[in-house]
Amino acid sequence: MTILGIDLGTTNSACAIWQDGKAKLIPNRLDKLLTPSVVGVDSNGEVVVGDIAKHRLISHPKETVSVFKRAMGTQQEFSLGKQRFTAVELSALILRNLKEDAENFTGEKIDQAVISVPAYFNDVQRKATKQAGELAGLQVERLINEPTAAAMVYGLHESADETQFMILDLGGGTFDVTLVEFFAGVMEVHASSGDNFLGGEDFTNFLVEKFLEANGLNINSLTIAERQHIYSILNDAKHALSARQTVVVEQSLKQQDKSWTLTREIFEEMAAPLLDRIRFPIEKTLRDSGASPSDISQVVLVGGATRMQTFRSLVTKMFRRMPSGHIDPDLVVAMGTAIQAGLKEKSSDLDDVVLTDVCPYSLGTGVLNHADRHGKQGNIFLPIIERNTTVPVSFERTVATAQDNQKVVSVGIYQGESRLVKNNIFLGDIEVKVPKAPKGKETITIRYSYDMNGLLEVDVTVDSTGLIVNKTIINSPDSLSEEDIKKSQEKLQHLKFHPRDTETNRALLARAERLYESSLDDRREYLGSLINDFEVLLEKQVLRDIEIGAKKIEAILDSIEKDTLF
Amino acid sequence: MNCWKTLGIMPTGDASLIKKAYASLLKVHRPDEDPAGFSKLNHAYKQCLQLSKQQHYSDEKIDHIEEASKGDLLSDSRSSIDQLDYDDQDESNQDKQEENHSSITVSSQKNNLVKTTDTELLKSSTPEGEDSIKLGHIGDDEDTIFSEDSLEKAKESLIQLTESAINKMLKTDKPDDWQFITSYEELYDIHFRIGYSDYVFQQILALFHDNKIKPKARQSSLLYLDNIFGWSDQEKKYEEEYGYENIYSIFDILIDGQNNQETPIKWSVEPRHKGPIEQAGYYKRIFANMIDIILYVIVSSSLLNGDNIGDHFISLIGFFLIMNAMMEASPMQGSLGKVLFGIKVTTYKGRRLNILHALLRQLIYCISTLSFKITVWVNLFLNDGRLLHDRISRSIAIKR
Repeated sequence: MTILGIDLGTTNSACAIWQDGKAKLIPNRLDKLLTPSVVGVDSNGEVVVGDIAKHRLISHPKETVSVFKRAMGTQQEFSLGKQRFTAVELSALILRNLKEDAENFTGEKIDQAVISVPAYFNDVQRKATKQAGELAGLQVERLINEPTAAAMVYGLHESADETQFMILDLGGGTFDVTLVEFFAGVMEVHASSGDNFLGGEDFTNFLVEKFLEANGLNINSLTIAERQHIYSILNDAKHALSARQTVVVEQSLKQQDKSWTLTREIFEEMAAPLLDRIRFPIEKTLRDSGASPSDISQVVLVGGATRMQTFRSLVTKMFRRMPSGHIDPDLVVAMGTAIQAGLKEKSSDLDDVVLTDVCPYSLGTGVLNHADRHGKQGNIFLPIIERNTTVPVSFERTVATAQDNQKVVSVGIYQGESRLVKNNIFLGDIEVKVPKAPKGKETITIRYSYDMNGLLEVDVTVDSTGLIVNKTIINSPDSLSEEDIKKSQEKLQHLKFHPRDTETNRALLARAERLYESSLDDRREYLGSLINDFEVLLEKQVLRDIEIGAKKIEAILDSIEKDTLF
Repeated sequence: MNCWKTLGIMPTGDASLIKKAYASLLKVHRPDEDPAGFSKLNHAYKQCLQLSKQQHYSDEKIDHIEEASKGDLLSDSRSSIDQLDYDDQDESNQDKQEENHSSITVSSQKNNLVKTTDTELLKSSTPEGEDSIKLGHIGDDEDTIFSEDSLEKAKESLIQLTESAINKMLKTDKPDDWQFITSYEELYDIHFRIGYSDYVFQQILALFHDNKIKPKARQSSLLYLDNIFGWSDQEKKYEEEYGYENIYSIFDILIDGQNNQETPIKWSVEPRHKGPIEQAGYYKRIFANMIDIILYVIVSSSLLNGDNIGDHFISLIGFFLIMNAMMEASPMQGSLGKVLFGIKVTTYKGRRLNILHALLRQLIYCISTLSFKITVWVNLFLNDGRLLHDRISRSIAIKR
């Protein structure tokens, strides 16, 4: 009985299992550990996922989507050719892909999973992730917070007692901060905080803006393909900047008349507003846990975006020490999910390990604001579960009716830290009927239960009648109903997928096509003929010839890529 | 049951003993297998840690008192910023004598504050465990990025610049005066930053307190600084330190200021109003109504020739009945005036009115406004914001 650990990322995803007392990362069909979180549809109407789709982002931008994790828990739809998909459905396609790879690797059927989510994901987003797992045919045994998962990997090998680690997780789309303490096999999360709209992709977006500005271009004058092309070039430039001081972006668009030089200083200056936002969650976490920077024995970096030198030097300045990140920041979360999977499997290697996590935000309800005579402020937020309470937890509060002869009480469910509900996130509401009585006479008891997955359950009891309304959050504006899920299930069932065994050649072709799109003049023609030849070869279906042809084309593509990339 | 018993240990001030006991019991009451048992255990653990800290704390206090009696309360590592501050002031008093008067008034005001040692504001200057004010504290780490020297230097110049910014703040409200903060690299250092942030907050609080300045009058500076230091997030901390009555007026500004940055009107068409339902203000509604009336009068006078007031009146009623009802039932969910003022009309449950409901609402509105002048007065005294015609037609005018 294997449980699959999955890191479902904004930019890349990865999976791992607990095997022989350690976390074992699973390579995908192209023998890579990271699968890009990109989904597309090809000309035959077949769904492509991962590397192939990533190449196709440039050659077929209208039939390919990426960065959809940011839309988890919203109704936003992405169009892939003629069809439209929600973020949940797209995530399900990624998960399904990972599941197949894992089944292929282990040789057994896998239908249970532990999936990681950003610590600061709210209830709706967590539920959406769980639903994506179910759509992919995986029973989600646990949702684990990404920084917590990373902490488990570091904590497992940590021998010193009572040490505190600060985990900074800057992924493609989200930033999380977690303070965790290790003692006697216990990994205790003290506090978590984060920013759901800050990640590596934002830095690239800034770069794109700057690049267009420097070249006097307007984003609206570019075709979608050109936009994607520029985006991917500048993304590569950003990566290259981690290793050196300057990067020259050669002429890569028809409209661009000269090469553009990017230095670390320019990047740093440009990224300043984003780097500023990194500070608040860190300070908040320290404040909440009552720790001072000198109490922390290690600052650990997680997530691909922490490779940015700019980020590293900022963290060094903030904590007066070099951060550590000796485990691959892209893969550590997936490894952590595998440890959690091992715990779930009750693996004997993990007998001594216990993990306790916290709820990173306050959850509560709205109550009448007596000071609010002009209807300016709205209801006051009454916290029921305070932020950074250890989970699982269950608390209740009793509230009374606010009006004479009130018939219905509407219990709003909010998440956030502001005094006024209007500044907090509305998660949903529950309405209960109460007997008519003068105001303040009828009372209801609201119980919030927050489980280890970070999912909230709300019970409302009317004290006089004993009526209980028990629901996981309902009426939430953005969550999916059972009906929606069924519809999605059907939709996904009707999709066609690539046969696995042809994927390597397809990936090669997709890569060649991407290079074709982004090249100019002679090279473009050359690539065009190369693609044609390979397609002819594929149609002939002589395996030996295809193999030789593939090797040849791969070598050519490698040399071309080396040449064009700075 | 006593928390020590739950953990199965004797009361102790040693946190690591508590942790060990907790860790061994935790393996029996795992959070995912025995949530109830875990909850109890975790609660006891937190309680014991708290108690042990208090004991620890009281020990420390005794140390302090001993230290105090030796007379080196403000020894190096604990040197509070206030102390430095006062030294500096003495110097600056001499230095700046020929400068403007305002600086002198501030300084002397501050010295007043120093004398009134029992005011809440001064709590932070007493040495009891206020380590947040250990500006420039250096850890014993080898990897220090900013040397002690550079932090020390930065501290000195920051204090000077802060002084002058505070002096300027006495007269004006210019966020630019604080711009120097962004040029200090040393403020990346969290420890240094927190210390400085607390220092600036304290200085501003003292300024407001001594000169009876209303925080509202320095709103833009406050918001600028809040943007840098994230004060609005630290209400609790400052409340504990300075007391609610001293800080609430500042935090009202900071928290309201954040709201004002939101876009006022949402244009989305939702089947049901999202978020909390908030009544629209009475005066906003009157203005919205006036705009409607003016608009309709202009239109009707261009359509009708002749000055018969009665004709205009009837056409006005017609406009209200037809136009307003249609607009309220449309995705606009309100007449032009209402839309301009960010008001929309919905049912009690936040749904859009259908056309008949909207027509009924307008009819009741016309009758109640025209037939009895008294309704105007009744409406004024209906203090929950729901006017007479809202009540009768079972609808509600809310913020978009």
